[in-house]
Amino acid sequence: MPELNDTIRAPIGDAFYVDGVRLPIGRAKDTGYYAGTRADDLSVRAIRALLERNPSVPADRIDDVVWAATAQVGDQGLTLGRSLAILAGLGNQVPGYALDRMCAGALTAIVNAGNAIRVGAQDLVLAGGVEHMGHHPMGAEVDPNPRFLSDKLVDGSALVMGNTAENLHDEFPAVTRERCDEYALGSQERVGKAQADGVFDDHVVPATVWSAEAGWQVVRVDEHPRPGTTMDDLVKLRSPFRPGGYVTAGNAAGLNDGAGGVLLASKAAVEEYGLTPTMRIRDYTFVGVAPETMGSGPIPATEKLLGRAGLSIGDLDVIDMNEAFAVQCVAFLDHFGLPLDAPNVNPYGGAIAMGHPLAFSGARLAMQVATYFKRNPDAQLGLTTMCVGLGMGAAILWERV
Amino acid sequence: MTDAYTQFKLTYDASPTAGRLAVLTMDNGQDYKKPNTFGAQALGSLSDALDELATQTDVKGLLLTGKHFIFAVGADLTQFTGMDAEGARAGGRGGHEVFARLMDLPFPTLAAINGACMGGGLEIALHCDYRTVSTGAAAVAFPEVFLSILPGWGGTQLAPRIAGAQNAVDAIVVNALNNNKVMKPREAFERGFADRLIDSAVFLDESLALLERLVTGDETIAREVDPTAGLDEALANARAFADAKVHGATRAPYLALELIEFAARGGDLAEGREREADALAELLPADQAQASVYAFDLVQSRAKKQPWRPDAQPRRLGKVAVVGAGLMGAQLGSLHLQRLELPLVMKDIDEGVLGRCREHIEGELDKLVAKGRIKPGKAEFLKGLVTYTTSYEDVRGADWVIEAVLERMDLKQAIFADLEEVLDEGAILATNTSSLSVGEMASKLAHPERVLGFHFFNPVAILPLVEVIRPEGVADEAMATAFDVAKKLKKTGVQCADRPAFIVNRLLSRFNGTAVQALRRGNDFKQIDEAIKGLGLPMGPFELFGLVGLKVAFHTAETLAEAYPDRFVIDDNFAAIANSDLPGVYDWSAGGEVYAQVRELVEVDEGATPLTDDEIRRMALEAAADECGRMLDDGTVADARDIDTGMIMGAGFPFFMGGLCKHLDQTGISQAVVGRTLITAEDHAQS
Repeated sequence: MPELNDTIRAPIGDAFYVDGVRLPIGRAKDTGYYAGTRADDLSVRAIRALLERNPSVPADRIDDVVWAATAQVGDQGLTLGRSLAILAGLGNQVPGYALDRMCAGALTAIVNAGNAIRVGAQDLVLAGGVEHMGHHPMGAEVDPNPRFLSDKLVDGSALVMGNTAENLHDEFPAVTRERCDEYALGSQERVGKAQADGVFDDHVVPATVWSAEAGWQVVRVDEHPRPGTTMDDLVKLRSPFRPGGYVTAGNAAGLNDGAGGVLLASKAAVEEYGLTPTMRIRDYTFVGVAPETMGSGPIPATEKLLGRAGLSIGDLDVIDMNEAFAVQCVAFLDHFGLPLDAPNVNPYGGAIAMGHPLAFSGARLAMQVATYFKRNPDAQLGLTTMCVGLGMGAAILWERV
Repeated sequence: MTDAYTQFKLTYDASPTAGRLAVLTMDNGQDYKKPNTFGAQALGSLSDALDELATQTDVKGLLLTGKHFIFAVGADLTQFTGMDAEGARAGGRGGHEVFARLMDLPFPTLAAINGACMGGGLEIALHCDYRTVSTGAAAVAFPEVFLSILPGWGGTQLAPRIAGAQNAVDAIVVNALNNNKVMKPREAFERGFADRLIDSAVFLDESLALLERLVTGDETIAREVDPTAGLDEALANARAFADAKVHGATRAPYLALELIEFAARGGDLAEGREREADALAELLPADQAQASVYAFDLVQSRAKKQPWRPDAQPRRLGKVAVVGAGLMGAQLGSLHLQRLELPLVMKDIDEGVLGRCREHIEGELDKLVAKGRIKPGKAEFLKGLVTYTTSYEDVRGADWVIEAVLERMDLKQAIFADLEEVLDEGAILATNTSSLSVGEMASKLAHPERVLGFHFFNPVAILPLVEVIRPEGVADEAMATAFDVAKKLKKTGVQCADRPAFIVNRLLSRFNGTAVQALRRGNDFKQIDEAIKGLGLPMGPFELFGLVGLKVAFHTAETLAEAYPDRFVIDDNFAAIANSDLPGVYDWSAGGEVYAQVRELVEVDEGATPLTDDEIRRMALEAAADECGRMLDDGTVADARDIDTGMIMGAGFPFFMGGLCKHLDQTGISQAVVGRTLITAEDHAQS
């Protein structure tokens, strides 16, 4: 365990990660798992399962429900956190709110919830997110200000995530299509192995879902992974974003539906309810980068976090990074001098195989770090990091307790 | 629509603990307003699903559930119309056969009652090994006996085995006869119709988890029911209750009790099923069930669609007023306030009356607070909406004004004239008169087209009918508003032309007039009441006089005698009793005996012989048939179904009589008296 520089922004108290639960991630299409299920109902399922796993915590003692969604309309509207407190039957006294930082929605929810605990304002907070991209196709419900383009504030490509990934290839010529496909294949393989090993049983709960054709059915495993994917399969795919481009459906995250969240607690709550937390939030960063190459965000976010703590990349026992695009991941690995198959980076695979329901994904990353800690008793420090649309990077430093 | 039937959709789940589980969903592909029902196609679909399951050797358990908000609400009633005995028996056996296959599946089965679960829906659930019920399920019930049939797909045989005799009797017979009361989820659970009550937010997930534990043996559900416990008492009480409610006029509750008793005493299940099929063969083709299906459609479907409502935009209401704050006015004010939640003006000439009105209206709100139905702040808000006044100025700006003053034409005309001074041109004037001419009341106004009748029944809070009187020349907007208000007040509005005493009072007056005539023949009050109740009516004529008030009943009779002297004759006995100043015929403070003074007032014709019960009933029904025929001929109503809706909702005539006209048609009395059926084939075609 390295010495951490704790002289900067020492918190008043700790925010402990107690537990996390998510539903299997579905494909965002008419025949996907959740085509006939509401986004808020998915979230209710996760919240109730989380509370059932922690029966000592009285539901009405939850101080806040912080829930992220990028599209805050329809079944993701009506101030989700508060809606969910009511729908999940937590009691009228439990407040909540919705927030949005695009892909880092749930990551921000965890940070905000953690901060409320760290300053001593709250003791038990549910933080998570949902994105039903089948009901809310990306960008379909927004109206970008024309000044973005007329004032040349951003390039037109900045608003289409796949184009930003192609831009990243331009920026990092060493990140070739082939290396990206190789990385993507690794993601599929790692997810397949983790599934076979029952890794996700730690935080995935089944759900009963409605389909007009089939009636009710039970879903238990992620729908997105394509086991048996080969390099041959991947190289055949073409980029929809640019003629001769490198970014394909095979080396990018999918369009998905998913929901889940975590329970964070103060030291006092941990003691009062006899909880056994896995880890605590040590620090976090958010940074801004060029919107046209938003995928570079994790690099400065991580640099800033490591620098502040006086750590180097090698001090981290596990890194869980959102795989929006393989190019973004490979650029990150190159920057920190890590190999494509670094064993402690996304050890259970990532969004390329599992899918990326935008605002939800940050919660999944935290759950996978916690699962890694549980399975690897020597691991002390973990990092979750994400790139974010419109050019941001986000990171949380986790420490085992 | 006719293509939509309930399909049984099968999916499978690979449970890591329990192994392969089947999930069987009942879904008719429609939204929750069109609930899952069972007809031949649905049973065929279930049979197909069971065939498919039989080919799956590795299934370890089955979860049966419904679509959103609905489990299943039982047989499709529309298929019952005109069904013969063999069809009924075959329908019963068809359900038995396929439900028995579900019951005989070689692995644990769990019915997850996620929503409304009635009749055949509850029966299919009882054929599963276990049941969960969601806190969000709207109702769990056996409504069959209410419709003069009985649960014929194993319900009478399984309910006592699973929930015990008392609960089976209550659910199948007592509740059904008690205005078709339903069990809420907690009650269904507490009475043993479900093994677990599960929060709606996690219902299916938790039900599935329970099934997994039942399959693995991690959880067991033991049900120790002695079906004979309390059986004799339950049966005796229920028979007495049925006698009081239907007076033997429909066989359904009695047959249901026999079947429950058979099962509770350990009767063989297969034989019990066969007895159910026999009972269906007897009951379904019978007049009572056929009339019930007809009545159910009238009340649940036709009346709710308000076929009389003109295609005009109702007036938007911002303020309402009641003129005349006496006993009736106060009830009307209370109802309007609670249901419309609009500024309300109570206008009267007497401060004392207004004070008592205020006590009534505020007292009713306080009762709601005490019952926890509304919060104190809401009650204060509603109280604050009311103005009690002696000045017409305060009525200014009201959009809907209903008068409930004394039944005097000159008084009502004067009040309407005063109201017109302060009201906007489009404001609507409604009268709660029970017998006066609405057109005449309006005739002196500058805008007579704004006046209509809106006749409630006492007690207003309980009786669901309001007769909406349509005078000649009334504005469509006024009528549309009246039907709109009726709906918002949660009352069933039935349209009636501007004829003396409208529908219900005119018919009751004629019908009950025969009871008064019977007195003259030497029949006794009680015998007459019992004879009439033998039709299945909740009350006899003389009991009813006591409820509505002798003077009110007599006033209606007078009005009708004036309008139709050929057949409405004021009997001296009735006049003498009505003028006696007694509260009614029976002294309820003395065990319901007839007041001695009343007895002394009755004069019996010289040499008259008392009528038999049958003759009393026949006389009443023939008079009613004659009057129904005249109502159709003189345009009081356009359709005999309007009469039936009125008699069911306003006079408590039973479903199994189909109100009144249906019964008169079924028994041939209308043909004998009027020369035709009252309900025409065309009426049926429209329903």
